[in-house]
Amino acid sequence: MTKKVLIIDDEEAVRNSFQLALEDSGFIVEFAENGKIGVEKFAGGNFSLVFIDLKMPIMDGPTALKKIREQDADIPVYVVTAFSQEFFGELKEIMLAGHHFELLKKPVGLEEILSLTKSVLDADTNQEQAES
Amino acid sequence: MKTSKQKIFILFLISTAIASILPFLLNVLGVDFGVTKTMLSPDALAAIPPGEMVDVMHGQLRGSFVHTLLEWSAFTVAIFTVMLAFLHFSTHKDIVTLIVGMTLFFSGCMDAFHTLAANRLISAVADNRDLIPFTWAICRVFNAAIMIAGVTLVLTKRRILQTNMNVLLGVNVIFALVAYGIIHLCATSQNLPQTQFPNSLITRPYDVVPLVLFLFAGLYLYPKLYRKTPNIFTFSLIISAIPEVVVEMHMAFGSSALFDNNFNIAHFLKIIAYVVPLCGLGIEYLFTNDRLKRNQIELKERTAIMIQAEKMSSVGTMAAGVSHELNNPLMGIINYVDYCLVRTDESDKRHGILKNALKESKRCASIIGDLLMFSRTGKIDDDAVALDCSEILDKVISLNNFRISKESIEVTRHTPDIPLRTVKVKGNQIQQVFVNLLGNAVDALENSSVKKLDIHLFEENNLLTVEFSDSGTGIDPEVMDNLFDPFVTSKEAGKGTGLGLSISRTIIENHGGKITCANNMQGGASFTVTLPFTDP
Repeated sequence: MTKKVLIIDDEEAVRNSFQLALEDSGFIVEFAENGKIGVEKFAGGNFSLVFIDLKMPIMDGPTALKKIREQDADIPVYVVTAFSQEFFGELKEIMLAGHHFELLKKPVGLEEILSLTKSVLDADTNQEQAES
Repeated sequence: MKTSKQKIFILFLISTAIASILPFLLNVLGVDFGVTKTMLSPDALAAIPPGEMVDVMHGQLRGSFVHTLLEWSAFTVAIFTVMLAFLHFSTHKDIVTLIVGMTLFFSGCMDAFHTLAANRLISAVADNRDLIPFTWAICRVFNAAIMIAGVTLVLTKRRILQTNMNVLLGVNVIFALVAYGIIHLCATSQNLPQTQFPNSLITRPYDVVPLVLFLFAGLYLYPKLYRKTPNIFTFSLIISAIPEVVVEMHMAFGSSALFDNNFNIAHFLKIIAYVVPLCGLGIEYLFTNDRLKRNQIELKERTAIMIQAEKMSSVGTMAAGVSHELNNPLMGIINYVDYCLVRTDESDKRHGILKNALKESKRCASIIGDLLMFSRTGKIDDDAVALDCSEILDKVISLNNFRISKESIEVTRHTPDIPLRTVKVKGNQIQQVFVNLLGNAVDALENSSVKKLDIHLFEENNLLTVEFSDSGTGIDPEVMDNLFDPFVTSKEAGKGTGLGLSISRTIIENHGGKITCANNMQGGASFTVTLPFTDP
């Protein structure tokens, strides 16, 4: 089954970067403009990987991340951030609560997005095959 | 080595002591300060030619004139003292100087009354031969008593006096009323007790009372005040007791007649006794003014530093905000250009242009990254906590995994078998330093034939040491000495802003550590960070 990737970011330039990076990757890529839409899309979406921004309107990254983790504790989540101090406290709380995520520093290049996505999803595929 | 203040104290003490015993020493050498003159009989006065009468009368009254000069000098000094005390109080709000200044003034007023009465310039009923010695004695007792009362009030009721001006005023009114009462009593009494006993051992027994009082004040009360409020003025009160005691000794055991040697010495030393607190107050005023000026200068400098720090903080906050906002569109630009670049043939002229556009965009990203780092350097959002730096290092390496694998860099971590102790650090700041050093090492290895990066973590001389050692081309010796200065970079033009190492140094030094660099003997360069452990 084709793997699905969810990009949650309010910036069009960032969403376009992911689109350009993953257009020929063979993965299905879906986008959300804010945390609320992202959480709603995640609910029924059966995604294998999530990239999430921190600073977003309506629902910010840390809140959306917590809600995603409530639905799926194991899915790989990459927080894509410019390393602003603003959300560090909240991210620390999320980590202390046991919700795992990785950090990706902006600006992220096309090659890095593709390489990272492939390595995570290929590893996921291998694991599924091993378990079956 | 004595400070200048201690030298002043000693000089003050020595000069007062010398002034106090000098007249006695001069007496020993044969100098007589007496101005006694036998009164001419009425017949002798009548026989004086009219042209010589004024000179003869002046001669007869010479003792009185000298007495008036000496007493009035003391009163003048008391006036200057109280004026200076008010000036000192107006600027420094020190109740001690005000109370003591006022008591000295009231003492001076009593001495002035004594002088006016002695010169018959105010009406007095009693005979001058009893009036002058009696008012002298009563003035000396009053002088000692009011000083003791004033200092005792300051020692016991300082807070009330400091905060309640009405109480302060009330105290001074009481002092004034007591002084006036004594003056009135002396002026209106027909008969005043005999106070001079020329043939006795104690020629003026009434002067023993102020002698004892001044000894008590000088040996106990004034030192107590000095211990509570140590300054040159309170010290001067202690040493003023020296001439006061010597005055009383000259009078009690020496003077047997008006205007004799001991009488005049005592009156002279009384001036010294007033001058000493005046000098003490004057020096204290200069010292406190000087201290005030220095405090004001320091306050100005600190305010300027604070304003500058706030400005920088605002600049930092703005830099953070702007940089953060720029990152998103910049990510778009970099990736749009990159996308077009990989789909443009190398022979196409636009390929070169797109390549340059990508390079410049990445340079912008680097500047923004440094600005964000700069904006975070001074922030204290996170507290310093005991952290394991090897964990921070692991995180930094994983963040750079993409670049490390893309450049095919062989990264080796060298850590001891036993876990290292924690260091008290602001985790995010130390992470920034490691990000900067690792990033620099990766940049250095970009065009290197051998791409190795060794990261050593160990304990040495009770310090945590983290060393990033690359196999690159090393650092140009010309920039080595200034490498940690702002805007100095060893990277090619357009690659670095020159802020990263400067900021890293600031962060490490703020943590009590050091950061150094050196070229490796086998090639490449090493950057070494040392940090003190949490538990030494």
